[in-house]
Amino acid sequence: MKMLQVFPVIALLGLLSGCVTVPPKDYTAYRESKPRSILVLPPLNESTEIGATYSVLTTTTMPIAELGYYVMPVALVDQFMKENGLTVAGEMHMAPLEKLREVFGCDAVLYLTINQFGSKYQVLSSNVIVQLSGKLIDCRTGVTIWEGTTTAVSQGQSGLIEALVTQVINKMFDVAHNTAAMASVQLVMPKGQGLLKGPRHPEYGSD
Amino acid sequence: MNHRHVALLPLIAAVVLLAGCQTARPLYYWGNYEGTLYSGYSKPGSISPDEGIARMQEDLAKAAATGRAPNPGLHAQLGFYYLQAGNGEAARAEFEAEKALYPESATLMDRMISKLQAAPTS
Repeated sequence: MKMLQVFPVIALLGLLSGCVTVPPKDYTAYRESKPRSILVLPPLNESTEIGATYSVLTTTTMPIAELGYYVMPVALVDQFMKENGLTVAGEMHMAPLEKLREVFGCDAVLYLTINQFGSKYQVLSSNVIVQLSGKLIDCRTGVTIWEGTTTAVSQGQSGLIEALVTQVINKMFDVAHNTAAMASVQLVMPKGQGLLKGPRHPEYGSD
Repeated sequence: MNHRHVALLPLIAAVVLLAGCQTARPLYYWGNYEGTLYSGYSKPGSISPDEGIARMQEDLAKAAATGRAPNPGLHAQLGFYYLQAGNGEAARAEFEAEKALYPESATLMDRMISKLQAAPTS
């Protein structure tokens, strides 16, 4: 188990050193927008894993809050949507921006899509892949102020044969959830690619 | 219990690393918040309101003990569990606490509080 958690961190380190070669994004509209609070809607799920939406949703608060933003309490938001008849992520993503701003008071909305979530089995080993893409939209103007995509990979130690045992499949889902957490971090945090520092971060305005 | 914490440590380290080398420590105390939400979604019914209350209170106590701010949403989520447990007064206090600590939450917290008033739980 310990080993499994080391891999994504190593992958991150690789990403960090690799960041230098990727041209930085254009943050002009983002800087003008100056969001203080971010509403993260339950992600659209394009994978075949039913649990992916809430696995990813529950990993997004920490990295975004640590960047210096107020993150709207994700479970309250989700519950509020459901009580108002928007039961799945696809419907929530269709909600008008002005309505979201009126109800939640958010400055920006993060729309996430899960492109991949789960295991690629090989006979002796397996990889767990979580691929996310995201779009941050200014709630007042509707302008897209940031877009990004990332892929996080964890190496599992059990292969296809073991994975046929139910218990191992459950364990693989834990690995997938940890991988989702790494993907969330990778998506929003890298300097020059992720979100800018927010008002609650001591380095706000320096990037 | 242990497992949750073990999983969180490398992640927090990575977050701090990515947030910039100057920032030596996280802005917030992160304990059970995200893990508890995940458990509630992945195994419906596994987090009773009382269990949720206990975990959020544990986080608040540890945040205070380490001199760190509770993470955004922690008071609000605790209020939500109180609401589910039928304790409207405690729920209101937590929504007020979230709003005081994070004024960005005012619109949503006021909405939660007015919902309490509309349908008072005893």
